[in-house]
Amino acid sequence: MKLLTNKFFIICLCVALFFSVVPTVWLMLGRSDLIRSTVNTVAVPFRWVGSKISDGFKGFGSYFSSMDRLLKENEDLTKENESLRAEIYDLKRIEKENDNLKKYINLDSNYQNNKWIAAKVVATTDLVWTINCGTEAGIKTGRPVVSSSGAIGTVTEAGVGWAYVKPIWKSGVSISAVDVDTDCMGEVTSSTDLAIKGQCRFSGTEESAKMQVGDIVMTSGMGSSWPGNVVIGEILDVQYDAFSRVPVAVVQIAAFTNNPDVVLVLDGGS
Amino acid sequence: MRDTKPKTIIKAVLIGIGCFLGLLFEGWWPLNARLFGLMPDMAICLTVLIASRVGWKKGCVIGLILGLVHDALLASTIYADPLACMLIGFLVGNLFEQTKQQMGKQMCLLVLVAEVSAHTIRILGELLIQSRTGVVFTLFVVLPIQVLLTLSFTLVSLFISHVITTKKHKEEKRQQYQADVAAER
Repeated sequence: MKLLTNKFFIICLCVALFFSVVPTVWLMLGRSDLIRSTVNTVAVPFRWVGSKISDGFKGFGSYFSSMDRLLKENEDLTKENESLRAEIYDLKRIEKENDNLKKYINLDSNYQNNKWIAAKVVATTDLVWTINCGTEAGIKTGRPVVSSSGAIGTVTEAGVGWAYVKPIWKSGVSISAVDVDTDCMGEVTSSTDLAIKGQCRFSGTEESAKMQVGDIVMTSGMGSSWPGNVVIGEILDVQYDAFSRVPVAVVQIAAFTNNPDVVLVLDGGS
Repeated sequence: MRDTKPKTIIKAVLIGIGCFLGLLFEGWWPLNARLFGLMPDMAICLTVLIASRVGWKKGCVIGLILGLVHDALLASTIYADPLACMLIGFLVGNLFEQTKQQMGKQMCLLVLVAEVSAHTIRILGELLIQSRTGVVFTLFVVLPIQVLLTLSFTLVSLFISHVITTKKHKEEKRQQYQADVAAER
């Protein structure tokens, strides 16, 4: 092992240690990382090309694989459309009545003045999802991200043309939630052992709550960042804590199973 | 000498872009099509692949750069890849210079050891910010799957690279032989 005393190897080792320790400490101090910012900005055009190619492949594959399913779905949707059309008239009347009542009691949603920013998912890794919009579109750290299937996560870092979204099933994330079938409040927290399957724990509910498998869990709207009534997922299993006897449910995150391409980021406003 | 320099630069640039695309590939693969949501560590695969051809000095530098870019792209909390990939570049390049063969039992064993070490360094860094259950799960489930994935991907890439190189070498030898015969005539 004469090489271990080699000057070139020692220099390389020192440089590697420097680039391992300094950015890590820098990140832990909560500072923005210059290396990460530069690399991700350089990667923007490559990611754009990559996402276009993968879209092409996906479209080509789905054309052949899901033709029968789409035909059946189309038939079902036509029937459903007819019944829904009848409901629209009733809903329009209710909407008007609702607007009048809102004005009357001066009710205003917390997020009514904010807008949603559409972004495309260009990369998914085991830690974060990368989207193709960043600070130039007004995306800020800590903003919630949703898709058509439900809640995805929060923005952890943003740069020019890119932003990282940490999914809710990854460790270190918790959201105030409600079981819409039993109305019991609680907190959805991520867990390392469940993250691999895109699942979370729903806990902190009342002891008397009767959560059941198949119940839908949504955001409660309590707290500063997440709006209410965003679907988180479906309860897969309910167990009781050995000490407190509080029910703890395993929730399958809807966004994980549907793997969305386009997401919406809640704009923080001015 | 003047003719070969631009060629070398172009080759280096192309390899650089190729490596960058290779690292980005890790994020492009659909989430549903991954094994337990995990992907092979492309930084390690590329370092092994390149270091086994260029030797330990260049292997060290390339490993360092690949590790740094990989950590920056994947939003790692701990920058452990520069150190891990640099050591892999050193080990694989060193073995290559000693044995002068790309495939073999030694190489497979070394790649396995190097990958286990690299993933351990990376995951140990992540463990600092995890709960006790998370630590056990990561060490006994995530680490073996990740190592196996990376190892199989690296060995397949090495094998393909070896086949291509051998074919190219044979072709060159054949052309040389034909040229010699023609010269003798």
